[in-house]
This record gives sequence, C-alpha cells and structure tokens, in this order.
Amino acid sequence: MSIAMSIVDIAESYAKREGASKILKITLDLGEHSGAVAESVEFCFDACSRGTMAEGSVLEINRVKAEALCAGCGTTFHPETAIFICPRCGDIGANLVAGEELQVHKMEVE
Amino acid sequence: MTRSVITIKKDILAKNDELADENRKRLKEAGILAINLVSSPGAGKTSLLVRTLNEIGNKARFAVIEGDQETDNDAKKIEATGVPVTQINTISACHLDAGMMRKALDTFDLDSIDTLFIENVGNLVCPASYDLGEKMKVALMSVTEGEDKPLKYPKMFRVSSALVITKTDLLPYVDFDITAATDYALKINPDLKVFKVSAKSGDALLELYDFILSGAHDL
Repeated sequence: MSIAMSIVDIAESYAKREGASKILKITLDLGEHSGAVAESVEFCFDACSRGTMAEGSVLEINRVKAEALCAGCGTTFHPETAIFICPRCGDIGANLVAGEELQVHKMEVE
Repeated sequence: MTRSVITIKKDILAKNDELADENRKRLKEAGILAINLVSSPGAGKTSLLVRTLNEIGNKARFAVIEGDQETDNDAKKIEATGVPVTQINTISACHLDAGMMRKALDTFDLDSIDTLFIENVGNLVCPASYDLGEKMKVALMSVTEGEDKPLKYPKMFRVSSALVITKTDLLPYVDFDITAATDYALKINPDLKVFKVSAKSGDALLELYDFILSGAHDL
C-alpha cells in the first residue's frame, strides 16, 4: 500500500512541476526480485489514486527479469530459484545486477 | 491540452532511502550500533530481547524501538528491564519506515546509547525493502516454523547479516530440520552468521551476546 502511495506522490509532484492537469498513464519498472507484487501494486494503486491527479490513469508495469552475476567466474545468468547457483561453476555467491528495480519510469500527462 | 510524456526514472523508495541515510548519519555521529530485528510474527523477537537486556543490559548502554501495528505490550516488557524504549504503532503499515525511525530517534538522548535494537513489525516481506538507516538486519526464525522459510522469503535472508534460529529448546517436539534450515539460509546468503539459541533455556546465548557486544561492530 505504501508503495502505491509513493507512486501517486511521485507522479503528482512531476505532473504539477510540468503544469499538467491530468495524469493519463504511469509506467513502472518492477524487477522480479523487487519485493513488490505487480497485482498487489495495481490493486492498491486504484485505491490510492482516487481523488488525485492520477485517478483513472493507466498503470503500466514493465516486469524486469532478474540477472545474477557470479562472484566466482563472472558469468551472468537468470536465477531460476531463490538460490542463485551459477550454471557454469556451481558457485552460490552470485549478486543480482538486474531485477531489483522498483521505479517510476515515465508517465503520460495532458 | 496536448499529451506529453515525462521521463521520471525515480525509485519509488527514494524518499525512504534519503531519510534512512540521514538516520544512518545521526547514528554514526553518536557512535550507535543499530540492529534491525526482523522475523515473522511470533518468532520470539521480544522474548530474546528481554532476556538479552536482563543478562547483558549492564555491559553497554542499550535502547529499543518497538514496532507493532497496535498496542504497547512489547514496549512494557522492555520497559520492565530498565532499558529506554519507544513504541511505534504503524496502524495500517506492515513495516517500519525511515520516517517513523527518525521520529523515534528524536525521543532518545542519542549520546547516551551504544546499541539500539529496532524490533520491526513481524513480517518477512516488506521490512526487507525498507532501509531504516540501521547498520544491519538480523533475521529471526523459530523452530516452530517451516525450515524452508529462507527459500520462501529469500530477500529477507539476502539482506540480513545474521540469522538467529530461536526456540531450540522445542527441537525434540517438532519436525523442524535445523540442518536443512541453516543450509537453505546459507545458500541464499553465504555471508550470514548463524546462531541457534533458546531464550527460554538460555542455550547458546553467550555466543550471540559476544556478537552483539563486539562482533557486530566489526562487520
């Protein structure tokens, strides 16, 4: 819920700065490992945007695929499970280099 | 009016992260080690804290921030140990955020604290994403839970520096596989320091106290 509220806050502040009167569409980047669930964000966004400039706007969610970088051999791979096992060397010390995004990317206003 | 597209690229948690950085700076200036305790509800955070404060409360100057949706029940238990405590009731939120933490910090004389425990709201999901400005997160997991918690909630175990498996006195009565639990957690985060304790029997608490009083400062 607080994530949806932050999205509305960010969108409204940028819309006001641009002198817009209405927010038509907000595009989010949501990583596979961001900790936020797209469906929940959508659900909460509808409730949070009521009575704001973002009411009735479309929430578009770009799902960003996770990418891990093996600390042992430098291979980048898509982690299939919660345990990041490098498919090349079997090491488990991989760090995410993509997939943690939780960002308002852009929006359409009028 | 014509339609236009605005590029924003702003992190949704940016405001929280800015406040967390301010908190971290204040804590650092005051020389405070802040430990954010995170777990499911009922893992035994408060019981472990109460026993810890009763046993080593005279070895450092402690303070506690208690986070719960409602009630000051936990704060009263901490208060009974004689350690300063501030209760935050999050009401509708399922986690503490850096703004709440800042207000709680304002209630203390920071120069008279060495170690600050933050008992987060019992929840293994959202508190993983909200930096409060702490030095580290310590995750708790009790033996009455499933041993696959680290696999189900990997982010929390990935962002934590230590894992405390609690209620080990109950191991003879439950099917919890402590070896598998440890193995799962270390596969998620090979750098985790793992403690296996019982706040009831006191088993293995000394090792944890050593970590709180010295080891955690070096991490």
